[in-house]
Amino acid sequence: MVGTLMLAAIPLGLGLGIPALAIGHAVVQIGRLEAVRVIFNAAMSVVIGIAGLAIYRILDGPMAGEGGAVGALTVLHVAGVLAVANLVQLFINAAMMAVIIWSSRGIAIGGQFRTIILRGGLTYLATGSMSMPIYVLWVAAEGGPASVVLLLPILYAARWALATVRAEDLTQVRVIDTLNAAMDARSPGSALHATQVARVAEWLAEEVDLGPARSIDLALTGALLRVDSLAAPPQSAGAARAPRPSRALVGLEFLSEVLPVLEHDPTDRSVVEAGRLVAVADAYVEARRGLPEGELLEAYEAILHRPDLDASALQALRKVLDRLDPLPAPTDRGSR
Amino acid sequence: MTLRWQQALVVMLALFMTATAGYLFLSDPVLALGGDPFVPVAVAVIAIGEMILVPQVGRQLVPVSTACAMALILSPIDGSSGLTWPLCVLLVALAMVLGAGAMRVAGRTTDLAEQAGRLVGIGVAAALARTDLGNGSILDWAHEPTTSTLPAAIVLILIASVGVGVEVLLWTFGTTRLWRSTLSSLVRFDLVRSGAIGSVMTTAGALIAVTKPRIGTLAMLMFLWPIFVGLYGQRRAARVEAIGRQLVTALSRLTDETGHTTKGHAQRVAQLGQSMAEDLGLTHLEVMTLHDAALLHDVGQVTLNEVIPEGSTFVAAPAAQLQVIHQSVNLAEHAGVDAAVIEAIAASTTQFRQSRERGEAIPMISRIIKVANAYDDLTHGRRNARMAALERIHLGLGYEYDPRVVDALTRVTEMDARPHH
Repeated sequence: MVGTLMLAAIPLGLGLGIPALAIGHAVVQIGRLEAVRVIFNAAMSVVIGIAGLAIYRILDGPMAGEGGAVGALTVLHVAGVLAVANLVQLFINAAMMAVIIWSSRGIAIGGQFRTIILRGGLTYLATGSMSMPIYVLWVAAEGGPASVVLLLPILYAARWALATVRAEDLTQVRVIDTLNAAMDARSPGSALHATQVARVAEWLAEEVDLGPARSIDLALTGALLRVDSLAAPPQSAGAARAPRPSRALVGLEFLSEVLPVLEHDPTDRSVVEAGRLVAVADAYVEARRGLPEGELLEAYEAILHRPDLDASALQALRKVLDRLDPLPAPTDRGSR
Repeated sequence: MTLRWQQALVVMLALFMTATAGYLFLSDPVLALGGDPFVPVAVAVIAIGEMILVPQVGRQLVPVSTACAMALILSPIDGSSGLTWPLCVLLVALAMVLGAGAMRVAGRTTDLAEQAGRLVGIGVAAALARTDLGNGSILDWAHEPTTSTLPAAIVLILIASVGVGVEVLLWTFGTTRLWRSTLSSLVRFDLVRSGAIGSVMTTAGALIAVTKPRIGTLAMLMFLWPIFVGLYGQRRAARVEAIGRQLVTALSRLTDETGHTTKGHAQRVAQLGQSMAEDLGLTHLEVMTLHDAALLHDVGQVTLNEVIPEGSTFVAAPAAQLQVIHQSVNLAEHAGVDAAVIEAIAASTTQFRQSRERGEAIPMISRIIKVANAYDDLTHGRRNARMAALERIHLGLGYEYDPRVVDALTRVTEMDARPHH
């Protein structure tokens, strides 16, 4: 919500308070985030906030205190110029993030820029639009600084609404986490293995440019690849019918694209492609286990000549490994 | 009242109100389109807002319509001193009926009781704001040029809150009997689910009224916009809840699909437990908790490398029962289900004698799940196994099982066992 306040500060003539807002926000984050991230967030906020101020001034947006009483036309003028400033801020933010991800993971800037805009653009603009009620109440209705208090319920609800996007992602993670916990209880180390396969699968999907949605699906597939290991041992009484644990996931809508891959549906071409990538990710994580850090290419060599693995998927893995190991540390746990 | 009669009533009301409002518009030119455009725009937005529903458990919120109705009753109308509170309520009613009519045409249903409750709330707020108190109304004071924006806005927000509060109270009064819940628990339940969107709805109407004299009808756009952002969040929150429900269902099926339990065991226990809970007079919220706890009570079995024969924890050794419950609780925690559900699962194997001999508090929900689970483990859903199962369960009466719960089981399964004609 600090972005909303920064944007609102511009037409109020408080643009120079943007660094103060960024510092204030950073102070609140101390202890909750790593120091590096706190400083990084504050710096990003200042850059984006000042960029918004510059755009607003270049476009000659109306400032509070200039001219007489503020009417509907002035409000529309401010709204239009602020919307443009907010849009420019979104592009600058996406460009900076894309450059950072490129420098750390080597992912193409253009693709990453598009992904950030598509996945978070609307939320970003909606957050910025919350600055208009502040301006209207502060300037047009002459409520002054106290009017921000009146807007607290609205700002709180908007913050909650925009945070639900993250809540949905977290709920999906929770589903995976629950199933991984079950697998881990049966076979210790399974959860770690699944997490790593998911990570490598997502990197491979990005490498072959499957698009953001498909990349997430592939990560989910990787995480659930061994869900069938939850099947009861064959001697059980329930073995009259073949156990198929993945069938239990049919009702989970967000896994609808993942289930065919888990169930190896050979009729779907995209399933076959996804299956190949996940199989390579699984094999790599398995081979990587126990190897010391820095010997990732040995793990790659170990699976290079396996006839069951797809050559183009292996090539994608090689390109990823040439830049960086997707796994943060050597894997010494996990079992089949 | 049948659906056909309801529809006829809505249509008749719509005709009557349209005629009345038409007459009023014509007799007061200030209210006509040529006067203050705020009035017809507000009526139109209320009508359209009636179609923007936010489904909640047990009710539906109509935030755009409610906020706009509050704005209409709290705003000064240019050049008019004759917009009395009954006329305000009539205008809102007209808009609501128009919206309901449009909903019917679109094949969607409306809840007349909910609409009536909302109208009463708006009426109370209008009466508070617009009744002449001798020196004028609160609204006159709020919109005087000498009154500061902050106190005026606070008073108008308070009036809008009273209106929304009346609506919530009317809903809870009607629902307490239906859900067998206390008023306070229902209000809390409603606040948790609708608090965010409700607070925007209440505040937005009052702030539109405060800014309307300065920027006219544009105020509506400025302060209704946050409601749309809130609606977006509400949709997302509904999706999060749906995923949570889907996860519980998936986990309840997991033991079937892995071959650890007989097919449909968790669903049957949940269904039977729900009937028993209703028979024992548990509240709607408790029944919902029981349903989820029953669905998840056996999920821990998927972590067993040595399976329990037919997944029947009834015949399993106490240590195995404890292990299953421990893992079920663990997985339920990972799934993020309510603490009450987890508590119910955790106590669902505790013997009833523990409460008599050691004073241990065993939730009624857990006692029901224990009995329902034993019954299904013995019958596997076969009706002809009922008598034998009941006899077996009666052997543990007072020791393993709560006698009141076993009585409920007997009653519920007796009804189920009766031949259907």
